[in-house]
Amino acid sequence: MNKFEAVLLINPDISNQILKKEIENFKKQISSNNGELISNENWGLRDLSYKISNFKKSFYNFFQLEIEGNKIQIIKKHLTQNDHVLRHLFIKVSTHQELPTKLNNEEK
Amino acid sequence: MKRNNRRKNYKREERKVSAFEERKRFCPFSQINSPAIDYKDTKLLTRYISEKGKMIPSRITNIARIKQKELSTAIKRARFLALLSYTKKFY
Repeated sequence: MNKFEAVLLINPDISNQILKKEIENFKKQISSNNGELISNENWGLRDLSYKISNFKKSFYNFFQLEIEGNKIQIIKKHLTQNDHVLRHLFIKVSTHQELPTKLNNEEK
Repeated sequence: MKRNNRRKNYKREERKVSAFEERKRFCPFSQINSPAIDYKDTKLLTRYISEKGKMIPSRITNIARIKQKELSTAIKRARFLALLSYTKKFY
């Protein structure tokens, strides 16, 4: 078991109900692969600094996980096939950070 | 050679006062209270990026070799998540 961080960018045109479903689906995939979700943070709707598939904004979601590294490939496969997820990023970390995270736009 | 010899003859007190004295350079990330490098902290990363969005080389910012490598990966991750831009051309 290793510690990981994940960030998902989700389509801004979706309704709130579908957005909750997408996040719950992601949590189910982790639990089905013997992983543990430690914390979940919603950064909300933020401006992109460049266009991604003609969208100027997107929903950001941040996760802290504990999973075996081999099983991440299975989760990545589901995310790439999903049309609502614009981008995803997994990063291995030695220790988890304290929440809330520092972001630039929060001060404004 | 002449010039070097002249420099050595200065006293230490004189050196401190002089305006052209070389200040001691240090790495901003390897001090005791220095901030941790993180791809989410875009306010810290923008200090080490030029106006056009390029990374500034370590010979100008005096960052240590290992920390520069961490910083470059952090900038590249922030660019991938569209927190920073690859080129600062606004649409």
